[in-house]
Parts: sequence; structure tokens; C-alpha cells
Amino acid sequence: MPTPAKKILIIEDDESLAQVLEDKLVHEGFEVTRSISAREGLVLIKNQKPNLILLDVMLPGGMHGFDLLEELKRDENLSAIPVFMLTNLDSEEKNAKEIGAAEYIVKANTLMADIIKKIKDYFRR
Amino acid sequence: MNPKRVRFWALGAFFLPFSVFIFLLNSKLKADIYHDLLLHSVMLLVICGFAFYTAYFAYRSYEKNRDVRLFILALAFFIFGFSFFLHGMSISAFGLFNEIIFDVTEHYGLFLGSLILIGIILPIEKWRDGAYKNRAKIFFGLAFLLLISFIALVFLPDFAEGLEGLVNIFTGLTGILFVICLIFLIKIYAETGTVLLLHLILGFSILINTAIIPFFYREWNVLWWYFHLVFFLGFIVILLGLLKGREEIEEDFKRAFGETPIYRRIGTKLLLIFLLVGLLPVVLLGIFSIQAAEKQLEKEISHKLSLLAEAKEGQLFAYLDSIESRTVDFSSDGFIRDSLKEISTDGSGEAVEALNRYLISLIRDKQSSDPVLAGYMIIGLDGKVIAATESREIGKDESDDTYFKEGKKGVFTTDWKGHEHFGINRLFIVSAPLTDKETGGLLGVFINIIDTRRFFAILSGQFKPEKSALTSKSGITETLEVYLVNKEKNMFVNPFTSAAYRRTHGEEQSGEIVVDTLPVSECFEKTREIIDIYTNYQGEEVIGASKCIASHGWVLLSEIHASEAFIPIKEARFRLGLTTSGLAVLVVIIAFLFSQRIVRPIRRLYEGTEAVTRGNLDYRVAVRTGDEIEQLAGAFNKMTEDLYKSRVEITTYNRQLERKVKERTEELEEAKNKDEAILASIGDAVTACDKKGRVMLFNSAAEELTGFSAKEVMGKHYGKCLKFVFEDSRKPSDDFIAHAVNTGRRTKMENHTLIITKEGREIPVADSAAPIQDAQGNVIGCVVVFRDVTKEREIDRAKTEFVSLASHQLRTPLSTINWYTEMLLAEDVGKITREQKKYLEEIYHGSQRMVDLVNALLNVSRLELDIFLVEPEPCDVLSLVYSVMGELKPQIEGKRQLFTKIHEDSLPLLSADPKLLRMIFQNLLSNAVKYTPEKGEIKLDIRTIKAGEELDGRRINKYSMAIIISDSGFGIPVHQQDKIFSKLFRADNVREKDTDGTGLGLYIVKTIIDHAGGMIWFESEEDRGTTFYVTLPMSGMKKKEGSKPLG
Repeated sequence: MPTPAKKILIIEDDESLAQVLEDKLVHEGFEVTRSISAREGLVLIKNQKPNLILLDVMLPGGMHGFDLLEELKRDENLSAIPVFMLTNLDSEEKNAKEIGAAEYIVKANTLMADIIKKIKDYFRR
Repeated sequence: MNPKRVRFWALGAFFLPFSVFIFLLNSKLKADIYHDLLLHSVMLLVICGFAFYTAYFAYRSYEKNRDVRLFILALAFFIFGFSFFLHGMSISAFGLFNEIIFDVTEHYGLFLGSLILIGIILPIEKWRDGAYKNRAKIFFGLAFLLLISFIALVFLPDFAEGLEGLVNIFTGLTGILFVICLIFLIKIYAETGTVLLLHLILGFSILINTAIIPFFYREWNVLWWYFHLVFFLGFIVILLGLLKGREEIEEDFKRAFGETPIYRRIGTKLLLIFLLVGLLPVVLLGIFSIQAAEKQLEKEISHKLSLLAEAKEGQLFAYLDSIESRTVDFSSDGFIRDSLKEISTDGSGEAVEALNRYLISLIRDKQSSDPVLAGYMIIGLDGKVIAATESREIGKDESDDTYFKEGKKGVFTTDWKGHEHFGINRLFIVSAPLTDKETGGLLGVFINIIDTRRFFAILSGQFKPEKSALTSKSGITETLEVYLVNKEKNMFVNPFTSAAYRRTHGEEQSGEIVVDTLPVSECFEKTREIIDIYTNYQGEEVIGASKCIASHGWVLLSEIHASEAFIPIKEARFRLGLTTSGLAVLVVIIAFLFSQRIVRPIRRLYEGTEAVTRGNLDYRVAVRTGDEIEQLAGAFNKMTEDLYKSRVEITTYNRQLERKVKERTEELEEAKNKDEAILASIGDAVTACDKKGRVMLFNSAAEELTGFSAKEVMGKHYGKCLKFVFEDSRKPSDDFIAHAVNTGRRTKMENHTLIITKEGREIPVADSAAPIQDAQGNVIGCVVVFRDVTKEREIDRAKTEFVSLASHQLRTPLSTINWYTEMLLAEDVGKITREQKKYLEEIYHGSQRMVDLVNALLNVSRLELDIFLVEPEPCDVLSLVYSVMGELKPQIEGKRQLFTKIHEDSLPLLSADPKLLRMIFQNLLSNAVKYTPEKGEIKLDIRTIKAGEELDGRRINKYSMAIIISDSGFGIPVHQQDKIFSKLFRADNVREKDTDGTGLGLYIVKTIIDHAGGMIWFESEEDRGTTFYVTLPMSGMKKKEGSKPLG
């Protein structure tokens, strides 16, 4: 029996980027949900319980990616969900890892193929 | 007292005793010989006591103030006292020592004392300490010397006599020494009159008399007493001076001798030269001529004595001959012969009677003409006296006597002692044989007896001593003796028993006089006749001549006492002593006058010089000597005049100069004001300090910035107002100023320096310090220029932050482009043609470059803002290199380049931030690959280097890891090599070949290495290749937190 498709939540305010990422992930056989703000993302996480979250740092609406990450890590039910930080800020990796991010990906320096590889590698574990 | 009057006083002090002396010399008193042993002793004791007391008092004063001159006074008076004590002891009446010692002690004592006194005018003050330290040694040494000398006098009579012979000369010398002393003392007194000096002068003036009087006294006459009185007087005057000036002695002496070294003056030198030139020849000539005269006199006297002895010998022989012949005559007397014959045949008493009568009548007859005849005797063959002029003699047996035995053979003459029958002590006996006229047979011996007491008449008879050589002044030859000595060394004829001998032994000689002297022994032992000086039988030194009369075993001697013979020499010596003394006085006076003639104008010149020195240029020296000194004075006056003129000129010139200086000062002031205005208006703070760090300049910008006013910091150390600290550590950082001063090189402040203002505010500043150098290039100070960079900092930060933000913002659209292109290229959204793929790849590549550029810019901005993160951890350098190589592998392979690695087997781990370390390798290696053409070579060499080892000619200070990357690439053009580490710089030759470079890589690498404390340099040649050398200290990178990482 084929394993059910993994649910991936993309929280990214840049529509264009979110779109191409979604396309790629879907192409790779993942089930993708998108959100453009942290707050909305938190609701979606609580409702859908995704298998993995791709989380931008700089988000509109007063709540940053790190705020959300902290929220998730505080929540016992949600803290297990792996969060891949996906950002163009290259200076926060240490910070992110400390809070509990599984991966820290600088968008401009990373191929989408590498991101897919990292996700797949993560699920394979 | 007026110095001039002192001279008169001194003259008076000399002449008063001197005139008394002259009076005594010409008075009848002189002839009175007066002597009283007790009075003499008392007088000497008093003098002696005074001398010793003066010595003691002078010494006490010396102990107090240690003036060596006082010590000398003490020593001199000690000598005086000592000598007079010995002098008193040696008076012959005591019988302790002889008259010679008596004389010598007195005069030599005075001489030695005056010799020591000369020390007063010598520059002995130099030895003040040494003399004081050794005062006991000096004193006892002197005392010991005196004692030894005295003992020598006693035990070496020759020495004493020699000294006595020179007494006159030394007495004269004493006077000269006193005169010399006196002249100097008077000269000194002219400058500094003191009580003690005055007394010394008067004392010395009196004492000069003591060098004159001894020439005139004979034995114990009044002059002798007066002599003692005079030096007693001199002593008292000096002692009074010591007592009177007791309080001021030290000052007096200092004033008198301390300042002016008299021994250096021209007058002194002239005096010495005069004495030397004037006196020495006279003294030497006198001594030599006296010696020559002495020799001559001795020779003459000897000759005369020899002649005398010879003449007497001749007379003696003639007389003896006459006696002998007369005696022989008797042997042919018919009456005697007949009587003898008769007596021998019948022995009748009648015949004897007749013979006796005959002999008596014979002797009476002869004695009237020859009183020397004592008697006749006739001895028979049996040795019995047959007949004699003295009846007592008849019948005596004289057969054993030599004159009988010898008389039998022929005429025989001998001296004979003690023939009691004739009542005469000394006899000549002449014997001759009496023979038979017909048969020639011996009948008896005739004896002729001659009295030697009267015999000397024969020796003296025709003798009249030659006046010139053998007479004394009075015309009496007191000591001439001519006498005969027989085999037994007994004197048996002495016609001239000397007056001196007669005085002590009486007119008649009693007993035997034994003459065992040099000529006698010479004659008997070697039969040598001599003419010499020797000691005669009286123990007197005599000049004598001897004649040996070998036929009779006699010695004929003619002698005269040397003391009498040499009276003319003594007189000559006396005259010489007197002449020398007189001459010395004359010379001293002439020298004094002459030196005054020279010294006075010189002193005037000196006074002129003093006046001119004091500034009196109108002063003129008046010297009218007509010699060089007048010329000199003229020249001096001329010089003074010129000096005056030139002073006027100088004054004028000075005024001009002053005006000029004023003008120039004003100009300078203006220029300075201008400069100051410029400095003040400079926006930057400008301060300057001298070599010792004292602030010399502090412009208004500096005042404003630091809060200190120029006034309060001027002249103080710059550390007071310029408090530079490091921004991070807050540690002081003004080293750069000291550095600029010490090295003479321009230095810059460390980055991120703050200045702490007076109010304690911290202001970031930028600045530099530059040494100020003089014309010779010596550093004389330092200029420090700094400015407030708060605004610049803000602008910089804003700029960098802008770059950071912009770069960041650029990343998002770049990511979009990248990812969409990636989608397309991956054909996730449908197949694309080859053509399309090629185009998409170009887009992707361009976008990728953009990403690289943005990353690099971000790194640069972080480096510049110094906000980059450093997290050192032990790194395996090799695996890092492999990882970078892995990334570069496609390119290397694509260009078919040859890559070689050299490294130590086990490189130690290096504590470093792996990201930064990787960045270094990544940049350097990718550059090497990028800028090396196809089939080129790339070499990587990694090793460790110990501290102190060299790498490419550079000394490495710390234990480091060295990374050497060389390629055979395009190289860096020489003219651009110095810019290679600049931001955004790209060399011309690679810009054309590769458009991808950002021009930031090497800048980043250098910044990282600098931070790590390492070094980077390179060697490059265009089209040949480049070698980069990197050293990283094994101590590792420093951790740096709270910052952003480099990406």
C-alpha cells in the first residue's frame, strides 16, 4: 500500500516564490498547503497537522517566522513537526537551530533540488 | 703699616745691629778677649730655650690651623734650638767635643734653619694635607737627621774638618738665604700687611747680621758675644710676631701667601736668574781658584821644604866630614901616638897624666872655636879608656861599644845616647884608630864626643826661612821644624822645636821623642824620601820633606804645620765668603731694582687691562720705559682706542640690528599670527608636542574636541589632554605618538579609537601622528592631527547597513529567478528544446553570479562593520581542502589542469572558524583555477613553521601553519600588484579573460587573515604565474561573538 503523500506547509509571503516551490513539491509528489502569514500558518498547522513546515523568517502581520517556530516548539502537540527555515537572512542559522529548526536554508544560495533532497532525506530518516 | 715704610724698618732692623757691630769692630773692646764659661752657657741656654719655645708656639698654631708655613717656622726654630744646644755642649772647656764641632754646630745650624725657612716663600700650601698627615714623620725625620749628622761630626773627624773648612761659605749662604726670604716677605707685605709678616721681616733683617759678624771675630772676643746677642734678638722679634698675631695667624698667612703665588712672578724669576748668573760663577770661580791656590801653595811649600832638607843634609854632611877629618887628625898627632906607645910599653901613670893634660888643653883650645865639642877620649887596645877630657871616664871598659869596635877599623860616626860621664843625654860620637907611625900598628882608638844639644846650631846656623812661603802673616814661622831621627826612631837633633811645641812641652826637651811617622817608616823600610802632607810626631797635620841619610841610618825631616802653611788660603776663603755675601746682596738689590723696572710697567699694563675689562675704555697706560714694554703699552693703548671705536661701531650696529630684529619680529609675528590663524581655522584638531611630549601647539579645533583650553595644556605632557583609548577595550592607546617620535615615521591611530574629553565624553576619532624633523632630519617633536568621526561613522554604518539591506532584499528576487529557471531546466513543467535550455542556462548562470556578488557584498559589509562572527573550533585543514577541491573538481578537470598537493603526513588541527578558513581556501584555490589557463599547473603546499623560521625570505614570529598556493597562470601585472588586496579591484589582464570575478575575494581573504593574526603575501610574474603565501598562527583565531557570520 502506497504511503500517503506527506503534507508540507509552506509559509512564505512572496507569492511567486511560494508558487514555484509548491509546483516543485507537488511535482515531487508532496501534498502542499500554502500560507502567507505566520498567524494563518499557525491555524493551518493546528488544523492540518502537516508532516513538515517550510517557514520563511520575514513575514507580514507582526509575527515573524521565529515567533511561530517558538510557538510551535512550546506546543507539545506541534513541537514534533519538523520545521525547515527558508529565508534569505543568512545570519540566523545558529539562532534557528537553537530554537529547534530542523534545517536552515538560505534561499538564494540553494537549489530547489537541494531543498527537495533535504526534505526527502529527512523523511527517510 | 705702609709697605714702603716697612722697607725702611727692615733696613733699620738690619743697620742698627750692623752699626753697633761696626762700632765694636773698630773699638778697643774688640781686642779684649773675654770668656766666662758660665755666662756663655747661660746665654746659649736662653737662646736655645727661646728657639725651642718659638718652635713649640709655631707648632701649636700649626696644629690649630694647619698652615704649612707655621710648621716650617716650627721646624726651623727646632733646628736653631737643637743646634745651639749642641753648640753649647761642645764648648771645649766641657771637654765633651772638640772646637771643630763647636764651630760647625753653630754655623751649620743657622744655615740649615735658614734653608728650611726658605720654605715659607715656596708654594708649599699645596701639600697642606700631606704635610699635616705626615707632620710627625717629618719632624722626627728631621730630628733623626740632625742627630745622625751630629754623630757623624763626632765620629768622622774628617767630615767635621771638611765642614769646618767650608764654614765661611755656609755662613755667607745663610745670609743670602735670609736676604732672599726677606725680599720675598717684603714683597708679600706690600700686598697684604700682617703683624706676623712684619715681625718676620724685622727678624730676618736682624738675622742677616749673623751672616756677617762671624767673619770678623777671633776666639772669645766681644764680637763673638755680640754675634750671639744678635740672633737672640732676631728670635725674640719673630717670637713676638707669633705671639702678637696669634689670633690672626691663619688669616694672616692666607692673606699673605694663599692667593698670590709669588714664586711665579717675573720679579722672582729675575731674582733667581740674577742670583744664578751673578753669584754662581763667582762662588765656583772662587772655590776653584782657592783650590788651585791651595795646590800651588802646597807645591811651593813642599819644594821649599825639600830644598831646606837638602841644604841641611849637605850642611850636616859637611859638618860631619869636618869633625871626622879633625878626628882623623888626632890619630896622626905625634904626642898622642908617642904617649900611647909609652903607656903601652911601661904603663907609667906619668904618661897617662901627660896625655890627659894634653887632651884637656886640646879641647879647651878647640871648644873656643867649636862649642859643640863635648870631649875627647882615647881607648886602648884592650878597650879600657886610657885618657879622657873627663877624668871620670878613665879606666872604663868600652870594648863592647860599637864606636870602639868600628873605630879600630877606621873613622866611624854614630849617634849615642846617654854617656853619663859627659853628663849629656845625646851625643855624636866619632871614632878613629890611632896607629904607630913607623909600624902602622894599631895603638888605640880616638873618640871625639860632640854634644847634639848644641848641634842643632849647625842645622839652623845659616837657615833663614823664606818669607813668602813659610811665614805667617805676623812674619813668625811658628811651626817650622827641621830634625834628625835615628834608627830607633828617636828624634835626636831638633834645632827648630816649634813655638807651639815649646809652649806645651817647654823649651828643653825631656825624655825621648819617638818619631814614628810616615816619612820615617818610608825611609827605613823603603829608603824613600817623600814630600807630602802627613801627621807628624805631635799628631799635627804637616807638610814635610824627608831626606834619608842611609850611611848613618838617619832621617832628616823638615816640616811645617799645614794649619800655618795654609793661612793664606784660609784668608782667601774668608775673603771669598765675604765677597760672595756682599755680591749676593748687591745682586739681589740689582735684581730687585731691575725686576721693579720691568714689573712696575707690567703691573701698570695689568691695571690698564683691569680697567678696560671693567669697561673703562678711556683708560690709558702711561709707561715711559723706552723699551718693548713701552711699545706694548702703546699697542695696548692703541688697542683700547680701537676697542673704543669698535664699541661705538658695535653700539651703532647693535641699534640697527635691534631695529631690524624688531622689524623682523613684527614680520614673524604677523606670519606666525597668520599661521596660527590658519591652524586655528583648520577643522581638524591639530596639536604638536616636542620630543619629550610637551604640548607646543593646540589649535581651537583641538580645544573644542577635547574640552581642554590651549592655555591649560601648553607645556604639559600630551597625555594630560589627549586621552586616546581603544573603543572595545577602553585601554589607552596613545602609543602611536610615542611611536612617531621614536621611529621618526608617520603613524596612524588604531582603528576604532576614542578620545576621552575633559568632561569624560567619548568621541570616536581618526587621526595620524607625524614626526617633526629639523633640517638634519632629527626628530624634534610630533604633530598629531585628529578629527571627530562620529558623523563619518554614522554615515559609514548607514552605508554599510544599506548595502546589507539592499543585498538582502536582492536575494529574494534572485531566488525567484533561480528557482523558476531551475524548474524549467529540470523540465518539470514540460520539455524544452536544446536551444531553450541553452538560453535558460545563461539566465541561471547570470543569476548565480548575482547571488555570488550579493553574498560577497554582504561579507564585505560585515567585515567592514566588524560584525562578522568568528567561532573557532579545531579544524582538520586537509579535509577542508579536500572539500573545496571537490567543489572545484569540475573546473579543474574541464581545464585539464595538473593539481599537486604537498603536505606533512600529519598536520596538526588548527583552531579556526571553519567557514572563514574555508573561505580562504575557496577564494585562493578558485582564483588559481580561474586564472590559470588549460593544462596549467596548480600546486598546494601546507606545512607548519616554527617560530623564527623563514618563509619566502620572511621571518615568521609565531608557530604557524603555512599555506602556499602557486599556479602557472596569468600572473598579476607589476604595476597593479600593490592594489591586489583592495576592495573591488580586478587586475587588467584577467578582467578581459574572466568577467565573473567580483573583486572582493582577496579583500575578504586578507581581512580574515589579518583578523586571525596571520600574514598573506604573494609573488607574481605576468604570464608565468602567481604564488600566494598564507600563514596562520597555530594559536588559532580569536572567538568573536554576537555578530553575523560570513557566507
